[in-house]
Amino acid sequence: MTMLNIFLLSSTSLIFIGLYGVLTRKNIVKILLSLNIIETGINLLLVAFGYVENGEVPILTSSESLKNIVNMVDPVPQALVLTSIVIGLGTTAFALGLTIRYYKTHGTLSIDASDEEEVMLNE
Amino acid sequence: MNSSLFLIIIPLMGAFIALFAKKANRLMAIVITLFMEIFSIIIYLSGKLPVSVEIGGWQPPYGINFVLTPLSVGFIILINLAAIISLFIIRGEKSYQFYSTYLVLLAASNGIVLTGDIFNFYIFSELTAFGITALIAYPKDRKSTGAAIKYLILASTAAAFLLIGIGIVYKTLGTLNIADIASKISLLDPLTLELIIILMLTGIFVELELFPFNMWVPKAYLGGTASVNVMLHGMLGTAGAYTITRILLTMFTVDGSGLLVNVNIANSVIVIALLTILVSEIAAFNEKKIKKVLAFSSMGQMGLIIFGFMIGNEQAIVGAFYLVVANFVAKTILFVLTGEFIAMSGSGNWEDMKGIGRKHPVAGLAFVIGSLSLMGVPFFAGFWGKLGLIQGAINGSAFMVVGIVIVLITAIIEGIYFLKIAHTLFLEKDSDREYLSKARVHSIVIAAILALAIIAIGVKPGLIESNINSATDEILNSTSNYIDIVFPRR
Repeated sequence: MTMLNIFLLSSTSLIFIGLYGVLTRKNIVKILLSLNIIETGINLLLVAFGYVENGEVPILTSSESLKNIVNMVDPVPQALVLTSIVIGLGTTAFALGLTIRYYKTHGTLSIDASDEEEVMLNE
Repeated sequence: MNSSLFLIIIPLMGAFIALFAKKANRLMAIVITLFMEIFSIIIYLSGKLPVSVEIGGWQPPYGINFVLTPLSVGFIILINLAAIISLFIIRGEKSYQFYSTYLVLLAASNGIVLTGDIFNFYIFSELTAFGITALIAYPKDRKSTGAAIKYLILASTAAAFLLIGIGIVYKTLGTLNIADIASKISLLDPLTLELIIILMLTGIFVELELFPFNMWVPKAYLGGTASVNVMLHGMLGTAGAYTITRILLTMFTVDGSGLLVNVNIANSVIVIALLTILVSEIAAFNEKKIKKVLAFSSMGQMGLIIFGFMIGNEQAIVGAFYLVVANFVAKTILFVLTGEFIAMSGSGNWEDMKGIGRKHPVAGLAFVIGSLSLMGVPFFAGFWGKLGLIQGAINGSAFMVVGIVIVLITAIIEGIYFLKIAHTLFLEKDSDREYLSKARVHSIVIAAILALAIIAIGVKPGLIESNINSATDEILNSTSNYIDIVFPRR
């Protein structure tokens, strides 16, 4: 098993573990944790897409390093991952802020609480 | 045309300045949005379209580019119009958080439409999700907080799938530029292509309010205030309709002809759209809360628009564009007036609004005109949309005939529930009724002007025919109208 396969396998399993969490958990904090696990999985997947076995750092320092250009790791996925990490951070911070208010208004962290209220309103 | 970057930079700068502007916030937001609307109209009329703007001078596909075509700038004009209207109908004082997030939302929805880079599209769609979540949650009560957190979770899960799709596109084609992907799409293995399209559609469908992904819609409309409803429908919904034209009908088409590469996926999207129409209209039929009625009707119209785009022949796409414009105008009227009616009667149920139409005949008439246009009655703007849709579907495959039946049946259902509301507004009397507040004149004026626009388009569809034909032409011949603009030297 090559390193690339290990990366791909672990990233897809992280994505599916996270998806399972989002779909089955009721606690909002746990749902947000699962979302973060999905994001980690995606980041690993993107980096794996640009992975080169025994690759070089993609920085041209001298005319010598031009010779290694075939062996260089693709830098674009890494730039994408940096951006997606920042977005993930923003989502988590914002969602946790909302969660605090959800706890204050509902008195619980269960995602079902707001549904029960709507059923009551309709009747 | 480098100045088109102002469409994104100025609201972002405004969002930052709003933190310090204290009382002048609302004025600043209105000035910025008015500037953007006038600026985008100037771009549309300048005659320099279509053009590709290379940011920082880096040529695509290496750098990020913005693509300004009659289609995208037309959508920008609609989005900014909705933004202005939503600012005018804001009720009461709002703090800087409201205007700051509103300006971020404005920048991001303009960015979705302008960008020519698929990863940039992902970033902007995440930004709209943040903006609209914060705006929904702004009232700080139980309903709005629950709606906001559900939308945020759903939108970020969906965006995760979109990002996986983008990653696979980069791995297989080595590019992130929409025009570049569109020109290389035939090189892809069919199974990989299928996977990419499914992953990307999952991400987009949440924003498009389509059936299995739309449990957030009624909650969000109910939780938000009237101005946030106009933003949700007019800015986010319009940007979503644009997404369909760009991602589905430009990127994944056979030689840029407006037909989806994979017939099975095209048919499944049509089935989803028809289910959306059916489910939402039936749900709206029994609904007591007027905002929920409008939210479900909004979902149904979105399904109609996507059905029209997916049929793929010229008449249907022209019809879909008429529907985009008609739905935009009519729903804006209804949301503006609903905000007034709810404030007047103090209740969200339409049964409590007896006789408001008698007290304010102009507002009541505008409401009726908007709902007649949504039903597709002749001499109102929505008629030309449904007519084109049905003509296109007749010329399509036998499968489309089912679609025609569903469109006609749901038009009747829609007619019944809107006429029930109109009946309550006009015919039922409640003479000793005390209203909580007066209707504001400027809201009624906005609604009346938009209602006149609906009748003008309905009686004389030639008013916007040339604009719609150029947009349709852009979709049907996207190789010459989109890809060649981004890569003129190929």
